[in-house]
Amino acid sequence: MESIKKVKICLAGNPNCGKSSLFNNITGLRQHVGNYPGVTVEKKEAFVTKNGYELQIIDLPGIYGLSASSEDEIVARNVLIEEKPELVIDVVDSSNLERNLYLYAQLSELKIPVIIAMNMTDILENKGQKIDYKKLEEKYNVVAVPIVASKNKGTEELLKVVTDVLSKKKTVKPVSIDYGKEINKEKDTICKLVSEDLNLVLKYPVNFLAVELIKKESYAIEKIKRSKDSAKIIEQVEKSNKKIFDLHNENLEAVFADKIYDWIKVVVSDVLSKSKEAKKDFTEAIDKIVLNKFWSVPIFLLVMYIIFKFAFTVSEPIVGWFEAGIGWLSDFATGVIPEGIFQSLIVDGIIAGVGGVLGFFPQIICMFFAIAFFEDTGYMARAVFIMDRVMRKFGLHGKSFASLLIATNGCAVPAMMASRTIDNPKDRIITLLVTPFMICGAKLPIFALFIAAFFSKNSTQAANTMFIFYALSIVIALFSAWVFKKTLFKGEPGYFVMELPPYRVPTIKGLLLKMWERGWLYIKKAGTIILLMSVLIWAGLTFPKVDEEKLGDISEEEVAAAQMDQSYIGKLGHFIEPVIKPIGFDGKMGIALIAGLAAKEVVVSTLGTIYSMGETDVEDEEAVGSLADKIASDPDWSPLKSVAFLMFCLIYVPCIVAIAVFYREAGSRLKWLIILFAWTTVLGYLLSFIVYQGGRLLGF
Amino acid sequence: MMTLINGKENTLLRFLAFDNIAIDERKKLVDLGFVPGEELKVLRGMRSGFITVLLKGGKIALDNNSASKILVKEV
Repeated sequence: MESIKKVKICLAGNPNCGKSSLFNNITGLRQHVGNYPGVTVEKKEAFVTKNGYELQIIDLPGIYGLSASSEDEIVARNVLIEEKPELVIDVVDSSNLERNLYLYAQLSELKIPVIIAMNMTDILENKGQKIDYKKLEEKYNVVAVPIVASKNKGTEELLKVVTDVLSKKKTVKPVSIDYGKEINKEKDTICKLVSEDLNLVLKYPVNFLAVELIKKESYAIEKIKRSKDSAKIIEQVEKSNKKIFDLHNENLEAVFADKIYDWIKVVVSDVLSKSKEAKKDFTEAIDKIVLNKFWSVPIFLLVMYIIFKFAFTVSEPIVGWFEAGIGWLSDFATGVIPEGIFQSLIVDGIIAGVGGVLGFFPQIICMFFAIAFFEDTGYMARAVFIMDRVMRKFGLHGKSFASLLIATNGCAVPAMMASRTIDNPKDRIITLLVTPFMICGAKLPIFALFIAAFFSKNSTQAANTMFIFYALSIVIALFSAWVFKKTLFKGEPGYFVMELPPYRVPTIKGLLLKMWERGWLYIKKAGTIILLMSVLIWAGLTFPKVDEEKLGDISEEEVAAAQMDQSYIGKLGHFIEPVIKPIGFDGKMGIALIAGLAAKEVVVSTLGTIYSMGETDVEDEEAVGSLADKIASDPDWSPLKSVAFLMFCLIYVPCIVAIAVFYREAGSRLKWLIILFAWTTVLGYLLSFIVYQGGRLLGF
Repeated sequence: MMTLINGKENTLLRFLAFDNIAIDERKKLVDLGFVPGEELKVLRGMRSGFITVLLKGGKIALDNNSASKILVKEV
């Protein structure tokens, strides 16, 4: 039996070229998301068996070229150069061939077979253009397969070519860029010197290294420094660099880029032809409206409102089904498990805790779906630029907003990691400090719970309240950024440049896949950390047991209240109560906030367990059903207290995982961690105090 | 010669050079196609808060900080 050969394949491409769609088409749901070793840049990979090969597919971060500056670009370049994949699939936006072939030309110098996945050929067709693939391969050695990743067209054909190349049935000849006589001469001289060190030859593509050395790229120089011939090579590099600079009187990146673009111009003019009349391109027409100076911000706010309205309206009936399902499960468990401590653990601890959090799953996935829709249309890339104008007034720029958007779209952890794309270290630290203020997927259940309890006569009122809190989170983040900029990080924010993708119609499959990817993380968290915390909170409320005989003849509710009072958590609640009383909180609210440090959803699961364990001093027993109903009927709560509580939840210290990532991303400096703790605690307390005491003075 | 910040909508410009620019920023712009002699069309001027240009078939958005370091002339 023939053995399966393992090969490593990298998916490379410009940002927004459809790389992730192709990755999803190839790998389905088999993908694994982790980090590249030593850095917090996300690494997506999956294993697929095809035609006798086990393909390890790695989805690299989007890059325009190999001259990397941000952390994710450096990671992409290092994987390509140092991990030596057997093959690279370069995903190219065929409707923007000229720019996309730039990366291809650089990749082909790595001496790894590169196959182009010529994506978005449907858009190219709409533009009335076609590519002569035969000529592209025969005349220019460029192997390309047409695909439409968004519709999963051409994936099988692409994989067939990939395995044909791996099995040598098909060969990919390297593309050779003519840099001109003088540069070629200098390049050859350096190549010769580098080739004398076998270590360098075995480790790096010599031709590529020579080009990077002439440009005096610091990472290439670093690699040479380890060579026994480093002095000789560096001396020659200095000479060659000076010679070429004198000849062109231009920065060397531009000189080399110019030669690559010359090659691209020749190729594109030869293989790309007009086949028919172009269909009208709506991108510019839409941009005229959405990027308008006066309309852009109101349109952005409208888009955000639509997202919340969609999330609350569509999820409303499903939330009801979830709650009914959890209620049924609770009744079922109570019926089948004999009364006692084990039943309490399952019903009051696990079902009430985890169920309380899972009850908001429909709202969360509906919001992920709506955000994915606007992302896939190409609007969110514009939103980042629209917000750049606003962000600059507070000393930040659009890339910081991208991080805030990622936090809103799921979690502060990837949002903090995304801040690695920010080149200016000061801007990065400010972004890291303000990212936790956003209402992430974990905080969403807390807001959804209290909105359901006090502010949801209908889905419109719920969406409006949520929208106000989201707007408030942005205001608090901007205010904090402004304070940091005026005090700790004086100076101008860094540059912001990006390519705006054309508008596209998203596919249902793509949206569902994104929704599932993000939603799955939420479920996973519910089954791990939230489950564990629910059990711990239950144990803290159950032990030490009160001696019922000593309590005398009292009702079940009074026994439950006494148990709560004397439990470990009850005692902790009493201990912290004097500190949190001025902001309107009692012991159980304080316990929920402390437990929320493990993960913000735990605030909800803790309240779920507390209310399930008996201290439900509710006014109308008949009306009580869901956790929101229990809270609404509890005289310890009021709409004013809930606003103060939500204000505190919005601002106070992020969860433990976010704290760890913050510390690492902020260069493991204790100073920033102390500032994060101090600022979030003081600001959270102060604003909650103002809301609660101010509200009381106004008669709320 | 002027900086891109002064580029008016729908005008065709030729990129000349960078002015007082950091290496990383220059590299990124070069990767995006800002090579001397290249023509670009201004799609949206600075009054929108940022400038959008059509360069090598792609739409590039730049903040005023970057646009002020790009030297161009009208074609």
